[in-house]
Order: sequence, then C-alpha cells, then structure tokens
Amino acid sequence: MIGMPDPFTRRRLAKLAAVPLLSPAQSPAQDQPADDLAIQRANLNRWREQMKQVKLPRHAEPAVIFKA
Amino acid sequence: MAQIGDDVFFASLSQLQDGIRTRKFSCVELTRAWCDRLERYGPRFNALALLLREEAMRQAHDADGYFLRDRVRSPLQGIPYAVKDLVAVTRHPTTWGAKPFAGQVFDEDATVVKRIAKSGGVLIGKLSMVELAGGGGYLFPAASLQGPGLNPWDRSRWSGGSSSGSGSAVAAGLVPFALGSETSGSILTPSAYCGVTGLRPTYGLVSRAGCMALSWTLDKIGPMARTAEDCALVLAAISGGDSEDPGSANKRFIYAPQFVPPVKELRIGYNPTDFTEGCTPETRPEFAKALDAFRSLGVKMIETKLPDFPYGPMVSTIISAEMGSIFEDLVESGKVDELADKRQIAGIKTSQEVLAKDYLRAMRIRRLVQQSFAKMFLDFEMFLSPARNSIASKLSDPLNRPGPASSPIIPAGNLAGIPALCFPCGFAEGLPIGFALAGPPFTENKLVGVGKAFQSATDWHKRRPPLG
Repeated sequence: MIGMPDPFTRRRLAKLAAVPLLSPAQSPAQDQPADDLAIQRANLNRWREQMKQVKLPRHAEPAVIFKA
Repeated sequence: MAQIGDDVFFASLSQLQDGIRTRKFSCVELTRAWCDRLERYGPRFNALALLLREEAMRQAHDADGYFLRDRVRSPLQGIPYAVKDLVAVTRHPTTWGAKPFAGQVFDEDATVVKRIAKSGGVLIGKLSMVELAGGGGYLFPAASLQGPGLNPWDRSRWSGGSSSGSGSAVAAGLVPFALGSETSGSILTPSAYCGVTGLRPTYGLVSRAGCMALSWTLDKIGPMARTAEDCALVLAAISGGDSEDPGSANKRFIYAPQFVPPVKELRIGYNPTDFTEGCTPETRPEFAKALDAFRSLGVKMIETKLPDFPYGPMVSTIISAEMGSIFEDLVESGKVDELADKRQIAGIKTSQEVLAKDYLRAMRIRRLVQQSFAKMFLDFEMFLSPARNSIASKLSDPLNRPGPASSPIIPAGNLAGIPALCFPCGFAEGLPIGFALAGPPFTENKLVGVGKAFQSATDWHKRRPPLG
C-alpha cells in the first residue's frame, strides 16, 4: 500500500561510492538484477544514516504497544 | 426498464439512494448497468481484476426486497461497489495483484466486505492494484498483474498506486465507490491523480482482517468515492472494533455533519512553499487558484511547517522490516522472482537484511513524530497540502524521476497514524490535482465537513473524463 517509492536520484546515487552509476543512455528498465540489489542495499544504508541524524532520547520507547 | 445514463453513473450516494426509493430504478437495474459498464470499460484502464456479476445480481435482488418492505439498513443499501484485490472475498481469487498469488482463494470474506454486505451494499467486482501493494519499492507503473493502471483522463498516464484500479474505476464512473488501502500514499496518490475523493482513516479505525498485510503498524483500509460525504457514508459502514484485527482501535466512525463547527471558525495550517517550490511548475498556478478558493471558504489559514523528521527513511525502514517478515516465505521459495518489477523484487529480497536496531530506531523516532504532531495540532485543527506535487506521471517514466522536494505529508501522516482526506482542487495540463487535508486522530468528521464545504463551492469533483 505504498503510493510511490522513495525518490532515488542519480545525484544521490553518485554519493554512494559502492553503487555503480547508470550511464545516461542506460534506461533503468534495463537494470541487471545485481544492480537492483545493490541499489536497494544502498537504500537501506542511506535510510540508516538519515535516521541516525535524529537525536533520540534514551527513554523514547518504540511506537509499538504490547498488551498482556 | 429504467434508462441509466451518465447522470446516474456519476451520481453521489444520496442521489442514488433517492433514485432507488423513488423507483426511478431498482437495485437490480442499477447493478446490471454497473456490471456492464465495469466489464466493458474496466479493462480499458487495466482496472478490473474480477467481475462478480452473479453474486452481485443476487445481492441486488435481496436489496430490492428490503426496499419493497420499506426496510433501509444504511445509505449503502442497493449501491454497487468494488474492492481493491487485496481484500478477501470468499471463493474467489484474491491475487494481491501479484503473479505468485494469482490462484489464491480465501474461505472467509474480509471484515470490511462483511460489514458492507450487512449494510446492503452490492459487491460487483475486484479492482487491480500494484503487486503486493508496492512493497519493496517498484520502479514502473507496470508492476501489476493486470498491467499498469491507466488514468481515465489520459491513458498514456498512470492512475497512481497502489490502489490503481480503485482510482480509475471511481473516476470513470465504473463504480460509485471503491475500497482502497494505504500504507504510505496508496489512497491519496490514485485519488489525486484520478480526480476522486479518498479518505485515509485513522490507523485502527477500520479493520484489516482478511486484507493483505504489508505493514502491520501502517496498513489502513479506506473509501474512494465521488464526494467527501460519500466517503463518510462508506466509512461509517466499515469502521468499528474488530477482535480479528490486533491493530483495531475499537472505535466507530459516526457521520454527524451537524457537529462540524462552521468552517469560518477553523484554523488550517499550511506551508506556502508546498504549493510553490514544492510543486512541479505546471501545477503551481492551479494550486494557487485552488488555495484562493479554499481561503474564500472563510477559514483562518496559518503559515507553518511540519516538524522536521526523516519521514521517508523511517517509513521505508518500517515497511521493509515488517514486510520482510510477512513475505519471508515468498523470498525463500524463490517465487518472489515471478513479480513484474525487478526493483521491487530486489527490495523484497533486501528487506530480509533490515537490522532490528534500524527498525527499532525508526519506531522510536515514530513516537517523537506522534508527540510532535499532537503538539502541532494544538495551534490549528488541520493541515493542508498538495496530495501529490505533480500531475500523474507518464506510463513510460520511472517513478523515481527527480522533481521538487514535495510536502512530506504522506509519509509523515502515515507514521503518525492520522486521517487525511484527498479531494480534487483543479486541473493542470488536463489532469487532476488534489488537496490533502490531515487532522488529529479520529477527526474524520471534521475533515469531511471541510471537504464538503469546498465541494459545495467548487465543481472539480463533478468533472467526468471522456470514455471515448
């Protein structure tokens, strides 16, 4: 139930040295599966780094409630 | 034999009810006409997953019996509708829009289907969707069992996802209303792109029992219809506690327009840049005009900004982690490779690698998001933004094309679990644009009140796409 994927731009891609850049002539539709996996792994890492920017109080509990 | 034409196909629910009560047409005639229309035009927009004509005619016959005995159970009695194909309907395939699940059949109706049946609504079909509701992150609109959702306003454009069929079917008058689902944007996006009114309810207000799970803490089921009031009437029928859904809030929605304060007394927060630099250039003048129309309702507009959090990374991490568990067997069986979108396949595979600490970090920040939103809504009652910052994309365009940084209302609102109403507010290059109006949890009645006031003053929601 996701409206649109998180934007992943070439500019952002360029910042991630481990990820091969698509050449301008290469359509994303022609991605090889290995590229897709690398891109998605890079996404996970990027999300982690962006979330780390938030100063999290030690007492902040996750937004999940366990009911006994 | 009643003549059923465009005025009926684009009528509101109360107009349809009036027509049935005054014997302009029967429920059977209405259902037959809508089944014919959905069967004829549904495939034109890749919107139809399954037509349920036989059962629908039986239900319509029953509904006529109720009307003959002057028994009216709800405003939905005798009204045809359809559901996104992630909602279980007994004895029929529920494909989740994905090839690996094409033959899947459940032996029980989803709670929402049971509730509408109890209200007398007539289920005429199931509507197409993005495979697995987009979990994993798809790159192209073609990520669906039925092919890309085509926009009734321009078939070279996408209808939006993941409730693609629900959006295009309502817009083209193929059903009076439909159910969609939203984890992060899947009701608001197709509603905005197709020019229909969609209501994403507060998390927990509508049971998800019998519906595909993508993210337990984010999934919501909601109506897509012609007007804000129609959404309210449907929400009243489907809301309520359900012991089968652990996320249920055990609350009901009661549509009570008499309790909506006059719009002139309402304070609405908005970020002006969301409607200018935050939008694609072709939509800016149209959003400016729409904002003027909104202001002319007399509401007090307050400039503000949403609290600053990494909403996108948070929502993506949470969906990946929860989906990773939900679809673990799909990955292990190798059937994930049968999906249509390669980027999505990779996303589902890598969801197996999300670290617990990242998921928990996202969920801990989410708590802060909820607190910040609660504080924000002390200063104003609602927050207005563009539902999408562009018109519908071309079918051939990848969905990660760079564009202006849009309002984060979709991921932010979904993380906070708050309701949002999307309603059409104009056209740019012949394609609809829409507003998203969000409020604190369980304020759907107020949101609908404001949406109704806007729709009384404008006619964007009454526009009809040419079927050709």
